[in-house]
Amino acid sequence: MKTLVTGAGGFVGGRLVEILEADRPGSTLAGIRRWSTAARIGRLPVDIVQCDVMNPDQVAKHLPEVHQVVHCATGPGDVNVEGTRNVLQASLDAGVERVVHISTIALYGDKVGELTEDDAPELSGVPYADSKLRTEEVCREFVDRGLALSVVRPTIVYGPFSPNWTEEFAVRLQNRPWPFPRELSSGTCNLVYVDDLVAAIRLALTRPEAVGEVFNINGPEYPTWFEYFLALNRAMGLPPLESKSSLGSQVAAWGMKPVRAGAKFALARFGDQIMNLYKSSELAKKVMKGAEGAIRKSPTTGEFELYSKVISFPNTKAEQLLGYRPAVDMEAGVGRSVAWLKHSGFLDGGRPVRHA
Amino acid sequence: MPKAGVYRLRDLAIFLQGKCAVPRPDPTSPALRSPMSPTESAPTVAIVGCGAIAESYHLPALVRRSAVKERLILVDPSRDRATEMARRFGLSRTAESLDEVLDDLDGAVLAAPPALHVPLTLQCVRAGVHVLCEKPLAESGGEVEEILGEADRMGVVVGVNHNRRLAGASQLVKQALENGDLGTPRRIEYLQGAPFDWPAASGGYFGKSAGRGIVADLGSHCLDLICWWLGEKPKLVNYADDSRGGTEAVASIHLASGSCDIAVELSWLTRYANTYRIEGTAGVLRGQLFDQRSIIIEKNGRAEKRTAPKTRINEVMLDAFVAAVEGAAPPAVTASDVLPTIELLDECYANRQLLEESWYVNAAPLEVP
Repeated sequence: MKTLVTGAGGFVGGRLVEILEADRPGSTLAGIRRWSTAARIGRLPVDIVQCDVMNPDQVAKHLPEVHQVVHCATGPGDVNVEGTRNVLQASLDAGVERVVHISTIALYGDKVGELTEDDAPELSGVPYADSKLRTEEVCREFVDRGLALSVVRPTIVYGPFSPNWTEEFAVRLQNRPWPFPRELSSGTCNLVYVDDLVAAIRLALTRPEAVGEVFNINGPEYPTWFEYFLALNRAMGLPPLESKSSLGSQVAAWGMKPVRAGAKFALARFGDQIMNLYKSSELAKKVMKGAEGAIRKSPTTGEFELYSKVISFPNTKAEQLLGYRPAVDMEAGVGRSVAWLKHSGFLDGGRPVRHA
Repeated sequence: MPKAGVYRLRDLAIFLQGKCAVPRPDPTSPALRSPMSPTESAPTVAIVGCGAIAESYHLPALVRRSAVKERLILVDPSRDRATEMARRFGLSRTAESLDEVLDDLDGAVLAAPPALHVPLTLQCVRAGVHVLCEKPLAESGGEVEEILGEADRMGVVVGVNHNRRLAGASQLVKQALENGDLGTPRRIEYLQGAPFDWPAASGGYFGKSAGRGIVADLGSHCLDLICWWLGEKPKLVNYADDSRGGTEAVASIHLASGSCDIAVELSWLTRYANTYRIEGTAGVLRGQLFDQRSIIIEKNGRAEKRTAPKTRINEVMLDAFVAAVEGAAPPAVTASDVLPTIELLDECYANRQLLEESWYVNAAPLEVP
């Protein structure tokens, strides 16, 4: 039984490969787009292949030897929609037995409250979320054409190697004065530890009840964002986290809005020239680093909207059809995350802590 | 050859004559090729392996010398890759294998994957071709000694691209230690880590077929610097990495040299401080890995910044190699210079322990009903 994992150089794909390979050595084909992303999975005696999902020939080439596909690859522009279409078409053509596509709860847009798989996703204007929504439409098309496909929509996936929800907050908590206002962080943080997500993916790959179904995959608890910040801060051994005033935080967020927009516009329009200036002038480097630091140390207005949102995704359907039981609560997940952060040089000024 | 290059080469030759013991070809050896006089035509050199290092480092340095460029040959098993590089750098001759061009060569720059370094070096040396090999030259001290023996027999030189020795900051460290500016070294810490982003054109770096990982790659640089700075090979105290059957991406190396404790931390996965620090009985030296020109020495309550002149390291390294092929000077870093480094690398791998990763063990395997 061979499983191809696309996007194996990424956070979720990398962990999936590690766990599959630990459980069934030699069973995994790790698909990557660029070799430079292969350092993590390269630690295993796993077969790594170039599998750019935007290259149909490259995808099709590997599928005759594969029984299962987990499609973790994601990217900007057409990568989600057209890349997924390429993977699913090649899977159908090759007679792949089971396919799992990794989607996201972001496609619920601005909805709040308790959301289940029966609630219809909606376009939100956020490019990533909207492209994932269109990607699920492609998935439905292939289910109708007979592909044994399941869709998994994870919530906030954290753990070792999570760039958005572990690394980023570890940096912010150390680099105060990034504000953590309790009032604006009282929304639900639907945390799922990456290993629980991997367990759900594996169940979706094997359970017959999963075919043609969509599953929201969450962790075992519903902490608030502020509780998550507190837990991470405590586990990192940092000084107590004091809540900042929500007014001050909002002013900071609004104040930086034009700076962010200007930086984004300039990078999009004059990216090469800016990089050349950065490389050639010490003064320009200093100014740009200062601007980057100021941007990083301030929240966006959109972030506070996310942290304030009261929204939950019960695991009911995944529990009933897959037998999914998330095993890692926030305390355990944060503990493992911080062990990894220490080991990886995120604490103690870029010096890895061994045997912590 | 450009005038500026002459000055750089002359300065380098003076520096090297003072600092390095370089094996000289035996002029009585019947196999020795006659060194070319400067008035003769430029040597014929091949770059073997047209990956990212050839593209960004070796080729730009060689093609700026028109006489060398005219005879430069690109060798790569992918004819498309070699042809593309030849087109971009304005070269005319390519080949798919070293065998096709070996008879025509005076020198070869070996930029193929590490597993091929020893066989390609020996092939060139036995054909009387001078070599500049990418690091690491070999996997064991025995292999280096075999190369040295063959090179001596054939009267050719073998250089190794341990280019960090040529960085101004590295040379300032060497001077500070030799001058006793820090007193007796007590502790060295070397931290290098960043997500791997080398634009590798092939999968030669990773996985079960690649063999060795970050320690052979980046570690060979830092272990080489430490051996060179201290003037001796430190003793291995402990070595651990995260390989689970593939190529290691994170490694922790603990060494000792006399009363000096040495800690080296390397990662291809996450960013470290990317600094080095040497504590001595009389002062502390600090440097940043990406600042190749300056160091700071703290002593008697004062911090002194020392800065070396700007250099283009690839040009110095490749000019020195061309000069070595011409018989004018030794390579910048020779195979015998790196023997202690290779022995230490091999000792690390031979004494490997699995790095503790508590979160990894906790999670696998999982039960799937």
